[in-house]
Amino acid sequence: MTDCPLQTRRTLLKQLALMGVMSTFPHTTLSQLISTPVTRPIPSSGQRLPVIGMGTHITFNVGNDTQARLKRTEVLRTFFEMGGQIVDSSPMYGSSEAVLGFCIKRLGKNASPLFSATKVWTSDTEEGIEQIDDSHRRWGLNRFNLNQVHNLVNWRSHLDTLLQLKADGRLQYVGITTSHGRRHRELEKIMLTQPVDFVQLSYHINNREVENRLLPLALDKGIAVIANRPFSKGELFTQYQRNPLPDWTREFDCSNWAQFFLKFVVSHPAITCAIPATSRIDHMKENMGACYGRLPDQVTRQRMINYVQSL
Amino acid sequence: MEELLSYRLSDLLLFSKQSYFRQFELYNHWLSLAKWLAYLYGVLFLFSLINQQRYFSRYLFLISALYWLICCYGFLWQFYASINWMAEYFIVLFIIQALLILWSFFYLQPSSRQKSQPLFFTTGILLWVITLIVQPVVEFVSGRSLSQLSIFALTPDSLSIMSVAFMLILRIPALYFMPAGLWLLFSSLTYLAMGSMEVLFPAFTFVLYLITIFLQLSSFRKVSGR
Repeated sequence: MTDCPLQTRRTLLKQLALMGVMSTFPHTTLSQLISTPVTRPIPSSGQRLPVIGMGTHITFNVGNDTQARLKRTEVLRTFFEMGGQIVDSSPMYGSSEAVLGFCIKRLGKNASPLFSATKVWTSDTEEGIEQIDDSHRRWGLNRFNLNQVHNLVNWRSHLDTLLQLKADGRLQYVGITTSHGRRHRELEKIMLTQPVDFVQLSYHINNREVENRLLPLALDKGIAVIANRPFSKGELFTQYQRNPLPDWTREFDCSNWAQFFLKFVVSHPAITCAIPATSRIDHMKENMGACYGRLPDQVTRQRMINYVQSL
Repeated sequence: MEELLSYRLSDLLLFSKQSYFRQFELYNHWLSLAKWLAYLYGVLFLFSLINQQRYFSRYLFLISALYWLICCYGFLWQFYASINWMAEYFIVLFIIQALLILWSFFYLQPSSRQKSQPLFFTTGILLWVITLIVQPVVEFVSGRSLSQLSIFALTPDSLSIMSVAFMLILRIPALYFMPAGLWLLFSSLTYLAMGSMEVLFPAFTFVLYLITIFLQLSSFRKVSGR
């Protein structure tokens, strides 16, 4: 094993992880499973991203606790082993960025391919520039793939900053975020008038308001969409997980409620990826399972909505 | 305004209950044997009250300024600030609280300390006993492990409750304990956001603190003839 080239060893690890994924689909044959994660293109570039990423709000805010940081490292390792790429954080999330940096450093080459996504969150423009530098330092990265204006705070100035960074080649993509269904009208105006590559918004099976205008607009304008809070901060599990999953969920290779909720989200054609957050390896495996197999079609999506509404 | 009102308390919480209690565990480990001195301090104060050793009680009150500084550096600065940026503001407030205690000890005129009224005195003792004995038990029952329990006089909640107890027993003006009051409010909101029954202690004490402010202000107005 120690003589295996790194690439072969990494492939072997991913295949072993895939076997773990397959064990969550007891009724699905190998031929039915795609051996690579489901991906969606970023419209502005064509670069493809796996449809399940990882958020770090609360889950990675563990401060200087080494024991907790090491546990998060294993969660992140599982994420990458199962084909994950996009990791989303923010200076607003306490120590999450610093903890991510710790994990990424420990994982070394195993933390790849990484699609790094952070945010700028301050009402002061100059402070925003400093914050971006601080984020680089905390993550241990020279360049982010994506930087986003967090919750539209001082968006005009920060967008200018981010677009300049992109023009200088120091940033790959520019985005803007909102959450909890707030400020959608303003977000819509920004999507119509500003050259953003990504928007991030809240979307889950019980909160589909964005399907009315924002998601069609994103499709129309060629803007990638990241869905945050796909579990509504765990409330969907509290509401539904004591109920059994119906048999017809096997039709889209779903074997647990996490995959049910996530596959609903990412099956919308406008969604590029969802970013559930977790601090547990077992939950990470469940989440990443949604990145494999079939996705529900429009008819099945409606069936899923009807089912949860009936509970 | 509409957007502000759309926020729930839990939306403002940046850390999990587990991470929060873990900071207590790390802090308690850092305190090492010093935590037992704090319990001895707690017992000594009760002893001084029972034996009506007023001067000894006052000097124990003076020592509480040191506990504010220990808690400020040990808990807030070393641990809590790493998961909550708001802790940095409380670092300043805790230092101010320590200074206010020193100020009230050295400069408050004895005549401004009215004779302790039985109700205030008894309530103060009750608070002291609650934070010394009852609070750790409730914390354990509500899910914290033994290593995560609040240490008397050395964790912010206990220290704030203890300070309000001092305020009632020694009849010191409530305004000298504004930082403690603010922490009690902040802690209550934190536990509320977590949905934890531990909200009981800081919330109850905060209400007592507010009532005391109201009573003292009313009394001041009567005395000044307004």
